[in-house]
Amino acid sequence: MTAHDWYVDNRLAFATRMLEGKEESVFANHVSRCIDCRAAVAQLERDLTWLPMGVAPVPLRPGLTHDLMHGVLHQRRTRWWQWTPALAAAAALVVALAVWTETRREIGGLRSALEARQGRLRATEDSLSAILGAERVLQETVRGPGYKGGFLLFYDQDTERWNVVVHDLPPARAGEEYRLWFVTDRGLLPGPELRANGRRPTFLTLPAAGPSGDFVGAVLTVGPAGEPTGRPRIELARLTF
Amino acid sequence: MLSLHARLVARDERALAELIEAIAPWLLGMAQALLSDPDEAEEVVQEAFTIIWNRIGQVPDEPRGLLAWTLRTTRNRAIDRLRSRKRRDRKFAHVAANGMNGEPVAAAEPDEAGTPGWHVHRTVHAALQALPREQHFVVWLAFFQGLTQTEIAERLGIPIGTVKTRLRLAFDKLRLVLASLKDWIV
Repeated sequence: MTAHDWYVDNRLAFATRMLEGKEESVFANHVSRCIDCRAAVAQLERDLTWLPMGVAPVPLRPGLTHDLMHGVLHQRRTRWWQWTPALAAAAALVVALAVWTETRREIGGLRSALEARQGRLRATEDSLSAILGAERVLQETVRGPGYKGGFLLFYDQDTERWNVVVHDLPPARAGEEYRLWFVTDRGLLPGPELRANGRRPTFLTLPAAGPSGDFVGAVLTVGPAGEPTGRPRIELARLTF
Repeated sequence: MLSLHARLVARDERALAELIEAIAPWLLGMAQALLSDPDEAEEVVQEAFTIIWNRIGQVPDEPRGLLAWTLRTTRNRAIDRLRSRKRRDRKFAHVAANGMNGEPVAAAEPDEAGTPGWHVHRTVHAALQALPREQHFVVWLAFFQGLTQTEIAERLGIPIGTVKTRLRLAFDKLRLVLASLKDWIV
């Protein structure tokens, strides 16, 4: 049996719609290409033209002819009106979905921004509470070309630590750094680097005893990056107790 | 005098009314047999007439052209609905409830004898009645109930090859009888 024999065997079933959906699709595709099968199916359809009239006719209910005429002749307008509510509902649904999605996105963005601000607020409140409760608070304004920042030093008796804050300083230029220096009775001792970004305050906490015994003040400098050497640095602010 | 086909091509609404009056009872009978739903049958007939009106230019102007096209279009629409709406299960139940009892293809009432095309119905009905009962039944299931040959085999519990054989024998006989019938719409 060849592959084409299956089509020959099922011509009648195809012509009378007795094939399953998938088989029918396969056969229809074949018929569009096969002249023999197309001719055979057409002949079967012609031969069986009157077979549907084997069923009894159903008398037309009153008004059906008019309804059918009206349906045919006013199909476009009817169809347009029929689809209008559905189209309107679909459009409204799409708009509502878009608004809902956009609103959710905005709410998500606002929530994230709020959480970030709340985090910064809590951090600021923590810092302020420490500052407000501090026994000693020293501060100095730091001025430079195009900026005005601050240098803050205070002691937190609860944690027994010195806290250093610099704020509103621009980032150090390439090859330079901000650095904290401790003022001791033996002179200036280098402290840690302070990284300023201009947007948020930089916070540093130090043990009350200092790096090498008590210190009496602190200095903020800007100068060449790297381990402190004898190279010149610019003193931006000095705080002494 | 122009044919009905030619008048339809000329968008003669009166011709459309004549076509509906002449053939709608047969289309409704067929659609109701397939769908078992009078309202849905009317919808299918409406769709069929709409298609014919819109595509009358594609209908061959020849004997059996217009009527054959109309009958085939209506039956195809009804079967498409039947299958797309998964109503075959209900159809199975309907068939199971009726079984082999009664008249598979009911004869029209005597007072319908004046319906246009009545002589065609009488000939087709007689040809169906002349078939052996098992052939008559598979034709009824396939052509007037819209079942596929696979569904018929399942329904009757017989091999699909047997279904095909019965259908082929039945349709060979029917083709001989139906070939002599002529178009009754001019």
